[in-house]
Amino acid sequence: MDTANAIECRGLSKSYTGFTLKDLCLTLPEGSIMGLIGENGAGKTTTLKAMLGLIHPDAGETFLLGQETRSPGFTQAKEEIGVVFDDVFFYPAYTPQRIGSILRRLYRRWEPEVYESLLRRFSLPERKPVSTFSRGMKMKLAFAAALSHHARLLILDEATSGLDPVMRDEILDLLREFVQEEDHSVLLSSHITSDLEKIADRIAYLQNGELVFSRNKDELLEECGVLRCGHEELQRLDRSRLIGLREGRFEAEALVLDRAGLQRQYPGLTIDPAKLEDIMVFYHWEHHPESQKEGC
Amino acid sequence: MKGLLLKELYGFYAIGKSLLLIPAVILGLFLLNGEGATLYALFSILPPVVSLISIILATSSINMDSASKWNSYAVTLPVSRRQIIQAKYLICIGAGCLIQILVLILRLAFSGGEGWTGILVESLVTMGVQVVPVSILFPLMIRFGPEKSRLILALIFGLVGASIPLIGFNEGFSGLEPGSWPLSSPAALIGGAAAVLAFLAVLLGLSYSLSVRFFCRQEL
Repeated sequence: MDTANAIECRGLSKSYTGFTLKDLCLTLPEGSIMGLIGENGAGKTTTLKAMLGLIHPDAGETFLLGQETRSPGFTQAKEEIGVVFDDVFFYPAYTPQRIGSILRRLYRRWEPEVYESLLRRFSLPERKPVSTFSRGMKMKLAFAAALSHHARLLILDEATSGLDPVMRDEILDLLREFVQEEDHSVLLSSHITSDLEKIADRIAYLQNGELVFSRNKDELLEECGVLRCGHEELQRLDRSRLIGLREGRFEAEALVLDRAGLQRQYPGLTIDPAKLEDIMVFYHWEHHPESQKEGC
Repeated sequence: MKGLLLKELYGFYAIGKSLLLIPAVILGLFLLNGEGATLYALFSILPPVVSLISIILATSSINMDSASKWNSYAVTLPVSRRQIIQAKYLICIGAGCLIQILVLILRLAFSGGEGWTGILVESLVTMGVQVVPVSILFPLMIRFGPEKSRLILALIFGLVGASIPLIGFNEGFSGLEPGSWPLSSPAALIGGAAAVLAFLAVLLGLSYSLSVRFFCRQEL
């Protein structure tokens, strides 16, 4: 196991009726933020749960901060892992103050001052029950809890979903601050690809339980493009270089993985830079051509 | 581990406020009893009240965990799955038993040792009433979830309840007069008490190991 990796999954597999996470191999180097993207049901939450030991994989192994997650030593390693799910799992009657009292006795390196300062920063009342909190406030509370015990690895499952842009931006700022320390790492599953474009160093894309790619984000966005052309131009192209080709009445569009190369070969083509959302959508069409609507 | 115990205690505090009605009503009825409302009599009615509240708190604790999905979060904390179950048993059953023992000591102290056999039998019965259902319910709740396990427990107690008249009245108890009970001598009583305690300890141990096994296998 390479200790410079915050996360290392080898051959992780898990089968449910109608869904299989297949032989997932994923590596998150220390000091990086990885965005885990995929459609609903692609296996993002299953992957995170299998990594954290919430579910039992059928095969494969996961190392978090160098500890195999089924080994007895993993309990100790969890001291340095902060987890935020898409909700807060404390009793609604608990107040942030009580949650702090509980966590202070669970984490050896719990910092009450950090927790309190985060509560103040997020304008969270210490003595009000969680049941009175909005979703945004609950998520901020979860972040405050995850960031107050000297975590080196944050695992976030749809933690920014359902938040307004201002709150999401606050949380992204927090993550940027977190990775200022060079051994701090974040794995963030999200549907909100624009957030990942802002902060992620790497993108891992899951589709139907399979890892399509795990790549450096800047390289990915540099290399991918969205081709838009007429039918005549399309006839001249090598279709094996097009992903998720969608043909409309007047125009066709597809994702290309070598934007610069294709542009050199066909100088007249319009190939726009692709966003993460485009990449997800075209990969979806590639695998589910029946779901394409006539467009363009 | 201390944090898990504290979490249970805070949970009890949250639901305990509504449960205060039970002892308040019982105390009210007790005080209406006039001359019979002595401190000794108050201690006599405490054990069943403690049993009742312990059972409600224990089942509520698992219900609240299930409703808030606490266990999914707890597994990410620096504690093992075994410790999560340990904390639940320590607080939900251990604390109830401890209170029962304290009440027993107080009752014995206030009675000056008079009628100690009756006090001991009552305490054991109430402790059993507290431990047996929770010991059965905990592994069931962990394995099948709160809804199904309540149905299973109702079925078990329904069957037991229905079988008592068949066994007791037709064959066993009808021929026994109070003076002829095998536990009428102090030595037999102490032996019986020890046997009951041993049974409760075995039941509790079995319940705990089943709960740990179910929880370790559980997918959250």
